[in-house]
Amino acid sequence: MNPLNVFYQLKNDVLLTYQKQYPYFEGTWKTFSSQDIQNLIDLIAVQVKQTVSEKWIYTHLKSETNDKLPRKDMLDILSQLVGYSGWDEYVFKAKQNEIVVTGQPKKKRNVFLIGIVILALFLVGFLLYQMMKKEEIQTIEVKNAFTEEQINSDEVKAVMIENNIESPVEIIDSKIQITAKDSTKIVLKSPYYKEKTIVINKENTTPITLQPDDYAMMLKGFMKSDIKDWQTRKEQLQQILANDLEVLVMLKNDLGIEYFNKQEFSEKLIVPSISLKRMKVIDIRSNEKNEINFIRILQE
Amino acid sequence: MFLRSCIFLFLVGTFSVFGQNANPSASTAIKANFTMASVKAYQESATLKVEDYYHYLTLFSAESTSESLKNEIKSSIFNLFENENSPVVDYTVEEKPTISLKELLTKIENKNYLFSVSNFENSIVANDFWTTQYQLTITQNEKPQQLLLFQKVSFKPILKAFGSTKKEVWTLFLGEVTLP
Repeated sequence: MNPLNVFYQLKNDVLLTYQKQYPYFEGTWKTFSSQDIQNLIDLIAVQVKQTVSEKWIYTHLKSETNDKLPRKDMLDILSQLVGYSGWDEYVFKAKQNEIVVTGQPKKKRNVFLIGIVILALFLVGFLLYQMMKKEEIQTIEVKNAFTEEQINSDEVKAVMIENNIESPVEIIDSKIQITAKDSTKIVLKSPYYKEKTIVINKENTTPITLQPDDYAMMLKGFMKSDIKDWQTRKEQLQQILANDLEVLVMLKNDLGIEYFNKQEFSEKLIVPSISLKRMKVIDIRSNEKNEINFIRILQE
Repeated sequence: MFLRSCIFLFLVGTFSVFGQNANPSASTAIKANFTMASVKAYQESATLKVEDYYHYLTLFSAESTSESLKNEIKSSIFNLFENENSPVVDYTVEEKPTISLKELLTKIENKNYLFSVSNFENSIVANDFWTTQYQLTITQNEKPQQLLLFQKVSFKPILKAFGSTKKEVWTLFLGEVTLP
């Protein structure tokens, strides 16, 4: 069996793994829709903690024929998804199975194959049971505590804390998606909302509500304002920004930083500028008087 | 086009020689402190300042802008520049002479000029500045005119006050505007 054939087998196994998670999918790679691709990306993110792009799936998995093997690190990710330590183990097992199968007389081979199928079915059933039991994906909404509206995914970040190790949790369509466990500690951070730590258990489906930080919310509004009401904005900025405010504007790809003090940054907001529209706030900190004294911005 | 390019290179060369004569210490020289990739990121940020400058000029020139708002805009413009009296091109007259930034503001006030910029190109970097070239479109009474301009952008460490504390931070300033 050449490596490309092993890869075709791996593609089938990936499809089988996907079907275990999404039993209603009964198609082939040819009928694999963009939604299926999105689901598969999420499945890989949750189970292997790796990222695979939509384009890569289109190029290497969805296509019926492959001219060459994909990159080894991508093969490792797919092999891990289907239950192996990596591509090397997958190839080893595939070749071992082939030797065993081709080495048997026809009758014995059939018995052997039936045995393998029964064993595989048993294993699939067992794994499915384990997955349903242990790896049920839990989806929980993240909402503004006052308005009850969903919080934009761009404005909040979530991390899961296990054994003092933080790992990022993806937020899609204002919902966090985690593997259901008896107890999971999640910390939600946002420049515009107060930080919140919660412990989620399997039965928990109640939306997580975050309390907005009033001054940060005002700043968010000001950054989107037009020229109208500039005088009110000027007065309010004087109130919400600390005199020792430090604004860091991080340039593209972290290649530099520009610093602005209170007066300079206020001026950008009082008379909204073109550069302001290219700024995305990623961190806001306040002093003991609740005045904003630090803002980190990403220049887009 | 060839002539314009020659003039651009001449100006860049002149600025370079001038910059070297100023002999700033190595600690304040751009190339001694930043990689070329970083300098490019700062140059991109500087083009946003140029865009801000012309956006402010348009607002300042509008008849409908109140006096109090004009004062705010004026302050924002001056903060973009290293010097309020930086020489700039007088767009209001055919000859396009050089006048100070302050004078330009007086001349365009309530005249409803619309400014827009495009096609930015940056020159090679001198000790503490570079020159950015761009196309400026000025419209008044629906009559547009286009100018190719050069603008000096300074990039140097300055002592900036953050409340009662002061820090040395590298800062971008706009400078003189010239014709080719």
